[in-house]
Amino acid sequence: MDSANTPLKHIVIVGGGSAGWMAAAAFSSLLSPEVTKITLIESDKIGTVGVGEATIPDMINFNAMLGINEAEFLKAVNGTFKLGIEFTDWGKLGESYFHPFGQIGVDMQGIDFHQYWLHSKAGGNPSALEDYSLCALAAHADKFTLPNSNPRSVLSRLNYAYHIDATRYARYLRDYAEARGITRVEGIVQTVARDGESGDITGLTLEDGTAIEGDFFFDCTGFRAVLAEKELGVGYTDWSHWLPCDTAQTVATERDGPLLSYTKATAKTAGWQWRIPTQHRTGNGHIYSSQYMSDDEAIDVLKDGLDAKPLGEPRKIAFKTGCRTSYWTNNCISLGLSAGFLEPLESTSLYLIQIGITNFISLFPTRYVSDVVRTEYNRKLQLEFDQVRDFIILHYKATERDDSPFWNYCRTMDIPDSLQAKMDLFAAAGRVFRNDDELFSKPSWIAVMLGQNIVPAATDPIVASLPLEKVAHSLNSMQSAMRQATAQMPSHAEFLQKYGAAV
Amino acid sequence: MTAALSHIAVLGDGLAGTLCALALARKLPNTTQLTLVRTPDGASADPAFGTVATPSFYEFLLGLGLQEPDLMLKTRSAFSLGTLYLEWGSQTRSWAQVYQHTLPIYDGVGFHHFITRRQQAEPNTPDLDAHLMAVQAARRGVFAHPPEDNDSPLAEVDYGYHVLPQDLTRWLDAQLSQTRVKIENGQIAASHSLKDTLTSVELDTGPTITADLFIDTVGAVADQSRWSRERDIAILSSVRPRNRPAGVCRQVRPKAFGWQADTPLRETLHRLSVCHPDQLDLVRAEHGDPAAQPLQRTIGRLLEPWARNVLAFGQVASCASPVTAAPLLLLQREIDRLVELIPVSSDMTIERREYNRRFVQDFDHTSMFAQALLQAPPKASGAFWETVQRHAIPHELADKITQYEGRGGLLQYDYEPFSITDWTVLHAGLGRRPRRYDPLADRLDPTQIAATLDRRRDVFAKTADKMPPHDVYLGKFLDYLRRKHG
Repeated sequence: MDSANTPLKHIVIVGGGSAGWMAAAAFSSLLSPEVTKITLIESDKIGTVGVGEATIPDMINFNAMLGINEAEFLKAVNGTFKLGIEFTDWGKLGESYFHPFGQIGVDMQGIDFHQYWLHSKAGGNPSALEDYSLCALAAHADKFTLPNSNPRSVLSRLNYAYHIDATRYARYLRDYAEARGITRVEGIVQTVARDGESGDITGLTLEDGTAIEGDFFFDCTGFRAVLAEKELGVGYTDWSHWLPCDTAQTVATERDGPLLSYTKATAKTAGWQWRIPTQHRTGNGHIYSSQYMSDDEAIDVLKDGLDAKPLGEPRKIAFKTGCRTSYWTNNCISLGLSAGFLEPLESTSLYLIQIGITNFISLFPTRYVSDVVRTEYNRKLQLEFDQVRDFIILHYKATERDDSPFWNYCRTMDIPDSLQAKMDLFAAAGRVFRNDDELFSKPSWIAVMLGQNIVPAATDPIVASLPLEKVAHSLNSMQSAMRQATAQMPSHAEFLQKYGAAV
Repeated sequence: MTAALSHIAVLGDGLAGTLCALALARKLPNTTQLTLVRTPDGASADPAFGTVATPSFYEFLLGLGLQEPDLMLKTRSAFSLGTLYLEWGSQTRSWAQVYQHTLPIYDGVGFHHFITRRQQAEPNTPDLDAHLMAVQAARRGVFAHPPEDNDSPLAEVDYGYHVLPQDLTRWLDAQLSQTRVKIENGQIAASHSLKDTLTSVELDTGPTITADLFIDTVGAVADQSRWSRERDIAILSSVRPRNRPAGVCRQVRPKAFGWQADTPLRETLHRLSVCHPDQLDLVRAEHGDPAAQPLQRTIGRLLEPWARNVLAFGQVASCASPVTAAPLLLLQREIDRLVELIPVSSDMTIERREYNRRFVQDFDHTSMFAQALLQAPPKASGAFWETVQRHAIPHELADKITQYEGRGGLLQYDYEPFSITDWTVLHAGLGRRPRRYDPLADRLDPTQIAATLDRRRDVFAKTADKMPPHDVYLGKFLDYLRRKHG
């Protein structure tokens, strides 16, 4: 007889895109195959969404958990380094700003750096906020080096993520997971067996008749949500009134010119366009709202925004922004696009998969899942989705653009109370809302709010009383140290080459 | 356009008022005028602040330009390794709720999971607290400052202070004379409002004080009608000389009337007895100080401490049970929060909203810690314990307990004042043993971990054996300071 302590015997992952293989790789590194068997079902007949992917620094932790060597990883996924995102035409047409990873400036006496910057700006300092970010300085110079862990080194201010080829990434993780004892089954799920009493999923039957029993299931089937939606009937919360973009046209181009160490996000009339540099090609995509723009127009916009020769014809992806009403239902977790979709404006897609995996690991259940565990998982995931959602909405709401119906809608739309409170607090005196464990920490919020012209009505009164010369002196020495450090860095391409990349 | 904030008046010269005035003087630019009104009843509720300051107090004082040596020289404060809860709950358990930086993590798995695993294999394995350096020192009543050296066995130890609110107030008050804070004396006799704004207060001694923001620590002008009420308590508080060593921890014992705490201070011992207001007679005998005046308080908080341009502060805004370090911890947070959100203009809507949000969160989070302790009543329970039991456990706390009991899970909410380590020590102290441990612990060999655990205990015991008794250490430390500072 099973007791409450019986470990999971068989985890079944359905779907083999980024989500499926990330989960498989993580579990294969942590679980012993003698105790818990892991099977991944995928079909070569079903494509993955996997376009070029930009990531955020948390991916470094995920790779560390898997014990992946960074140079080897970059080579396998055609990866490049990413120091942040350049946003163009968001706050106003013709303007651009940089959202860097890592710190901006140095906080002094317990007060945020941007308060000092605001104070000095009012006193005539012409430097932009990002001129005090080592990541932004290096990115603008197409340079890169790894951070230094010594807090005294100016290089400790660096932080980075990657640009990768998502299809190659899934392949890389597949090799990793298979080498560690994961079973891959080729096939398409046809029927799902459920326990009559609990409703738990007990097994799957594939098109070819193969039956696979399991005691825990991951739905990584993308927008189709084969287990969560079709079988378990989990609902979907629609956020398209806050994030009206619902379609993307994507195309890769040849790589041309210097190798950028950042992502570009350029606002368009009814959406925005990304440019993600990997080693061999550049990923491009135009995300827009079909309410405000036709597909043909969108393709024209996409093509106009390319800086090199396209490799093939644009591919269309339709989506609905939102999230599942429950991420973990019965003995099944939705991971990746089946859990929800938030546009990749801040490169959070892989992160939301990662957080789903790490939270599952930290709440690792036995065969008998208690409601408390499920509730906690759902609470944490919802918090993450909500916070990312708010941060993305901020980019649309904080705009002065009035040149198209789309932007008029965004500028004037109602936003979640949680976001409104944050914007109000910042607009009043540059104060940043305090929230623990928030993915996008203070510097990110500050970069975007200031970058999109939410200028606080007042600076912090404590900083405002400091003599301008003293503040200017501190800021100057900070900036010159960063400029010096940037000058000494190798170019991004040089660094990658030396790092053992496949350039 | 709204006017700049030019004048802040702090009402009341108890601990909260004095600390608030000093912090504002040290942090705000000189352009903000500050007044402190000394009222005759300013310190009457101060015994409810209790006597324990957590390790964060050190940094907090530094931020105000105050140093540990000065605190130790000018007040009867002593070092503290935490609180000993003695014969607590129906299982009559005793444990040291020590301050501890963080617990070790082996291969990504928390320390307590390895204890659980070993206890499942060997039921006689001692609980978590036996594996902590601070507990070894606490049990022996010894103390020494943790060194900077990270390899020292003492590196995991953190320490706080035992303090007396009235001593702290006197000490802080002496600093006030070196600041620009203007002092007025008198009882608040009348207040004047214009529309929705309090414009001035009139003192019975004559002066009228006009300000943009009033910080009320005595309940003179703040609206106290909307109070989320948990329960009523009565407090007796006394300080008496002592000639015997009293250890390095506060000792808290459950009583039929409620609970009693003895806090070792320099050359003295402080006693706090807390009971149901109807049972004062029962307490007096056991309290042992016939002269002690009872203080009546209601555990709970205001729904919105900052309304209009009046900020209810300290004991006027909330009363947390002094059974934990919450009262002083909350006062520290109130000061930090106010300085961080000091209004930029006389329209303080935005600051007020954020301040109130954090206030509620901080209070409710600390109150969970006290509830977790008090929900474990002693075998023989009276009116006090019945009242405590009647207060429903919030689902956040229930989830914390279920998670820990089930799988040793540690649930933590937004910026909780009590850390994950505090909660781990508390769960283990109350005798909770998780039904299972993190399966990932099995990646490490049990015999190797057992050896590591035993080695730790051994090193800690030997280190503690070499440490001086707290009284001796404190005496020498003060001698050294006196020599150094003359």
